[in-house]
Amino acid sequence: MELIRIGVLAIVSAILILVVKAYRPEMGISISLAFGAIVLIFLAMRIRAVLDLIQIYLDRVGVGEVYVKTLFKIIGMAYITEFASQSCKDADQTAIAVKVELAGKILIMISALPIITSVTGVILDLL
Amino acid sequence: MDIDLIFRIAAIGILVAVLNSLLQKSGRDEQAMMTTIAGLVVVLMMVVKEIANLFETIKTLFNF
Repeated sequence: MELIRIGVLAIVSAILILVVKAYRPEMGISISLAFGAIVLIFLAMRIRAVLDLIQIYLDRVGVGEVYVKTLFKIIGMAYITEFASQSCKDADQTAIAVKVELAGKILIMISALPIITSVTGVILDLL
Repeated sequence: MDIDLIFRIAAIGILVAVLNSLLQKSGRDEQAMMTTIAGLVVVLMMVVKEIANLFETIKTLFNF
């Protein structure tokens, strides 16, 4: 079962980080980064199945292609932002983490602008 | 899942720590510094490759 493998890997990584961090702090951060990357790459295949299902349902409802694409793009950007900012927080660099989050928020906002514009257009037409 | 990577990084970390203390004990401080930097570069190469792989996967998954 995958969950057991991930759990065991997480515990082993935590112990290894504790051992290595006492001598070389930067190696500890590297191990935690590698663990995060490995687990997320592994989960990517599972996320694909869920995304395909969502895509099928959204297509059936008749939501426009552009909106679905933007939605998925924003979810991906959120994942990347979260990964980078949590890694920086792990390395005790809170300021950099907050800046990464800010960059993510702004870029997501910019990606969502076409949708916001079309919503505002609909509302203005109603008025 | 590429589990070896974590063990490899931990091994390099312990190796660098041991080499560092040995070299420092024998009075070769600049060589100890070199081993530290070399170990860091090697580990960073491995981790950066993995992170690039992750971001590429996310990019294709959510079709950026």
